Amino acid sequence: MLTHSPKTVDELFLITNKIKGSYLFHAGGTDLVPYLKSSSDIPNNIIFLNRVTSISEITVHADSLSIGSMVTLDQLANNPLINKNCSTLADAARLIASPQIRCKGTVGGNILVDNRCHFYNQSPFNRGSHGECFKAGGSSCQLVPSTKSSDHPTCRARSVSDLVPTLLILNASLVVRSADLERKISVRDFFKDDGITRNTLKVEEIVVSIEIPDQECSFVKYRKLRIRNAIDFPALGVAVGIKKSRDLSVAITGVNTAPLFHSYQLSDFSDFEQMVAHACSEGKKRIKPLKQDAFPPAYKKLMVDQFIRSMISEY
Amino acid sequence: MSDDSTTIGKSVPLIHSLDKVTGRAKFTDDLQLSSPLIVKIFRSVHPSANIKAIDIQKVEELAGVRAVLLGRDIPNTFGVLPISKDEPALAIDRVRYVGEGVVAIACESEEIATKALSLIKVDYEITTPCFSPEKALLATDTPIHPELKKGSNLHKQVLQNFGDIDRGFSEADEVVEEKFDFPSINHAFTEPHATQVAIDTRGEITVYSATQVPHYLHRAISDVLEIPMHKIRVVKPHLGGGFGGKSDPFPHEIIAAKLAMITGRNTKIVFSREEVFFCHHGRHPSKISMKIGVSREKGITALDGNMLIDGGAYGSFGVVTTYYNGVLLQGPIKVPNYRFECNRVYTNKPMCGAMRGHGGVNPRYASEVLIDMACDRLKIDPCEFRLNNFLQPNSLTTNEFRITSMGIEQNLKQAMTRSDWSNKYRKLPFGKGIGVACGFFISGSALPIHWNQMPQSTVRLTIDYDGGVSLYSGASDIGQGSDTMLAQVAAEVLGLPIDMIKVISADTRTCPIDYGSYSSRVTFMAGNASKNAAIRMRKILVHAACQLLEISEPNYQTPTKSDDFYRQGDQKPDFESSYLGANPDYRDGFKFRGELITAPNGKSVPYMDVVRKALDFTGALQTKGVYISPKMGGNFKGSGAGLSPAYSTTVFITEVTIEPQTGFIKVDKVTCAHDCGKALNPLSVEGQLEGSIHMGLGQALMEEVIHHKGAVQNPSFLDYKIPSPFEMPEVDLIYPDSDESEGPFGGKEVGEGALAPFIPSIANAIYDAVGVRVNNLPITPDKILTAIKEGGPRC
Amino acid sequence: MTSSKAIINIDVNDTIYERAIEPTLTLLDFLRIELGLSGTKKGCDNGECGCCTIHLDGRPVLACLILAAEAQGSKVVTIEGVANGEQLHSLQSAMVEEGAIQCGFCTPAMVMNGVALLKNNSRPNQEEIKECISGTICRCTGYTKIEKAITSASKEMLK
Repeated sequence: MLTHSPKTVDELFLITNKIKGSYLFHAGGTDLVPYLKSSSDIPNNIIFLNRVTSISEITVHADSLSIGSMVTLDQLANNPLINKNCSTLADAARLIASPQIRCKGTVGGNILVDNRCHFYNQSPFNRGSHGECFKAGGSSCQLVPSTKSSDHPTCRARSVSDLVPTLLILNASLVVRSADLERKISVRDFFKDDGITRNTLKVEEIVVSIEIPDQECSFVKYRKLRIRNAIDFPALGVAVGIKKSRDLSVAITGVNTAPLFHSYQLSDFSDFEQMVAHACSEGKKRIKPLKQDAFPPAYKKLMVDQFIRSMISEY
Repeated sequence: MSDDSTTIGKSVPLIHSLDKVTGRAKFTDDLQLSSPLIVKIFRSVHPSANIKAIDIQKVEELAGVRAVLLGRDIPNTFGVLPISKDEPALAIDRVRYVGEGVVAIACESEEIATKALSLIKVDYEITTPCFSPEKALLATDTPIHPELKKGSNLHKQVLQNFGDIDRGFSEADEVVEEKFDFPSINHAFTEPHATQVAIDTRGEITVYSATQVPHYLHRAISDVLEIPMHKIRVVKPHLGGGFGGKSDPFPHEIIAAKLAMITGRNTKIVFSREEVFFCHHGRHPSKISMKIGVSREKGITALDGNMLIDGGAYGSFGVVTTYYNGVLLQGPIKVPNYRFECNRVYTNKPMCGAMRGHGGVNPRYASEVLIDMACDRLKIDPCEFRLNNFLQPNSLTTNEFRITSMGIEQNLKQAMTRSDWSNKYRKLPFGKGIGVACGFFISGSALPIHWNQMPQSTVRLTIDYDGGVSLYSGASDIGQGSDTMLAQVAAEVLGLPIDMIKVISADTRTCPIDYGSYSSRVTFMAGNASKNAAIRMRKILVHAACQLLEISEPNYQTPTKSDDFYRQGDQKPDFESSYLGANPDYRDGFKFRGELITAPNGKSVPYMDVVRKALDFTGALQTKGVYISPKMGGNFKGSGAGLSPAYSTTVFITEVTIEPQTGFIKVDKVTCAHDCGKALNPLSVEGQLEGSIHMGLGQALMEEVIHHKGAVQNPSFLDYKIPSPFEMPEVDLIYPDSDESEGPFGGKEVGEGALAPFIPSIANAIYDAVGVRVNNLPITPDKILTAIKEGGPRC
Repeated sequence: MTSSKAIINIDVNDTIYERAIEPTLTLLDFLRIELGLSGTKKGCDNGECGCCTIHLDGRPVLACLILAAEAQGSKVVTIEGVANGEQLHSLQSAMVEEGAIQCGFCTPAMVMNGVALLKNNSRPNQEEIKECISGTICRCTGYTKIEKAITSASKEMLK
């Protein structure tokens, strides 16, 4: 195996062009390193992104804020610009994993974090005790045993990013690069409803930065459900945003295979309360919780409603 | 007298702290033996299967593989209790749980070992597993342990019946009865199991292992591998937490020893965190039905319990657990009529064993919640009810446990005052609550698990020309601070600074036998042995001092009740006897103050002069002290279970806030009053209580080992939820000195007893806050919310 | 799979080490096995127990989640590098005095957590202290005396 440490994005893609065989991008490594330890089939090359300084910065533009994908979660949480302009994103970052992991884990990594399932996220040994699942290349699903290979999705592993709900509310976009193409894609269009492929990023692409337009919402909140106030992934995460026009948007993570986003225009409802009530019932309807963690599915349905209401009550 | 105390009763930092805080302390995995072979274990993916064939041909052909071990290579089974030696080091013919070892390999490197594991192929014939403890009670043609010829998966049944249970219930003003359900709990110590074996040119082995009981491991390796004990030395390096989970001898320890013997090479095995969960030996999941009769005048009139405990695939400490589920309910409230039936069953899951508060934790939840329910129905204050009905000092329980000191009444009164109980109970707004619960625990078992007449603990002391005191004890410091306690006790008797006591412990070659660190026995038993040894050493030094000062030998004083700060017994030490007795009065009129020893006539002589005088014609000074439990207990089958020379008690008054919209529980404040006799080292006492609170909090609110088709589904610190610092409540600790006349300087149990009653105190506070009871642990927000929504009294 | 060693230069506790290593070697195994610095503990090797906390370029991180190859050119401080000779860091002294150490397996990590906090925050409040140790599991102490030690060290350092 070979390691590479490019210093610019261009250099990075020169390397990928030259490499014969497989490679992996290494961002913060907090998920990649455990994967490398447990996987028997690891690639020939690792490309470290930590020296690419251009993607490790937070910068202000005329009408937006740009966050480099290699900015660490700790930097995001403590950055004065972020705390001034979109403090909810900093708050959400502070809720991720542990202080040590936030010092290493990156914004890009959290957005791309692999979906999780109690059955898949095991050592190969322990997974093997039940037979390999679809995500591990097998042909069964322990979580929903009736799943057939013709079903969509075959894998119901849940999305667990703590940053994504707030980014959805803020209408953020991802700047994505490959060797010869840079594209920009809205976070709202980025995710796929599938526990295996998860998003539209291609193997040869990297996320360069996240762009957050100014003043999408005047009020943004994020609330996370977990049994203890450290380490844990969200069992449910709900973000709400209210625009100056008092239009409402709601984003939900931790339950479905993809993060959910929906917006509601006040003009479609008789009043604000009716809109909130509708958003709550929609939220309950649209989440499809399965028995995946300490919280039963029915409880998560109740909490979607509760979280939306409790956050909006602070508006 | 108290002015004379040099270390007892003072907050003494643990003697290993400096090594630990600088990273110098070596744990088993940290030892660097000369090029050890890496040992790994191939484990079963099936909970129940017959092994038809094992193909190890490719493994044996792989370069760097030095030995491959199968079950049939180690035919002798073992178990910590002589009455249930039902476990093979590697599965023989059949596997009984997911994670059971089938093949072990010793390889030149970690990478080769990992590769080798992937080349092992086992052909299984899958058999029907038994996961449900209820089904395990039923007759079956295919029991998990056919060799026991039981026709079912029942492992152990205990029935006890004292007094007149029916009359007891008929005398009650209120009878309450509930069913409770408790999940499997893991010790979750931070240091994974680890063993290294060094082999010398004569083929003799030194086993370095993370074990709570070097002596039991010593015996097991000798028995299973059929090697004389003198060819085996067991040493415990620094150990990263045990909590009961490192008190059995384990397969990997025997395997590492066997592979060293086969290859003639040093061996090393360190578990992954996942393997720690497979190995388990944690708290038994249990289902408990309990019925309690309560009378306003007479207190508890009757208690009837039925416990079904799920032992997993093997015996471990299970027979003891089965007894402890019932017998430990005999205190701290007097129970005149009681009956219990406890059944331990085998199932196809990782085995359960001893864990902090062994066997007494889940039944305590049931009994303390039921008492709270009865008081609620009778409109009695549950603190006042308890105050009127505690066991009294120097009394017997119904099943003839000898109660010596009993400080709980004062402790509860103090806890009520400190927590402002009477202004809060049933007076707080909805969502806020306060609850009480009490507990009772042993200070070591009065009977050893291997029947013999040896003392329970022996300590040796030596002093040579340098004047330093070497203290040798088989007791295992697992982080609880037993080495410090032993040093404190000896330092106190010899009037020396604690750094002059050099503790050499948990090494079977150099240290006398001690039955190890479990059942809260070390302070009481090894502490007394240390005191005995030090008193004998003091006598030698006094004799030499008398020679130097040309004065006559002292007369030992007869103690009076008024000056018994040191909790002396009422006897002079009998130096002719092998055992000086619990806390003999050793006051000889001399004052030992570090560098100077002062005679009763006021003349002083330097300590070093005395030591060197004492060495004349004899050489190194050596003494031995022992601890032997007094004869006690009733004349009936099982009377020895739960029998202890002293019992600790604990009071918890706990305050909680429930968020009614989400059911989230915040334990705000805990007032904990523990009767540990004399607090020999307040810093340690507080540490043990705070640790028990944290562990109890986890079991109460979030911890649960989850199985899916027999496989542990959350074998990681991400998915097995241990409370973070944010969940810890404010803690107010109360531990006034009580008078435990037989404990070393008055000390008794503190490491385990506090865990159990904390959990029901939370449950009782939740009831006070929102009027619901949750009888199946952990008490999670969804269960609270469901119960509140249903408006019912329970979930 | 082809395998070739990576050459790395790492400054560990003010000594520069040059080693040829397997690219998949973690920084934790590098420290423990290659350098024999066993004070950094391996409790889970999966980023969950937090017992392998070290400082990488001044930030507290988990050595088990870092490839040694990535740390090329970095400055690492481990528990062995915290004391100045026999002179303990104020937090180390406070941990000893306050009884914040029982089994000691998490202790090195707790010291690294606390030292990192105190470097940037001379008067941490209780929430900040809880936060700084929340990524390392202690099963013995219930955290209370560790928190107390950090508080008393912060006061000592302000003197």
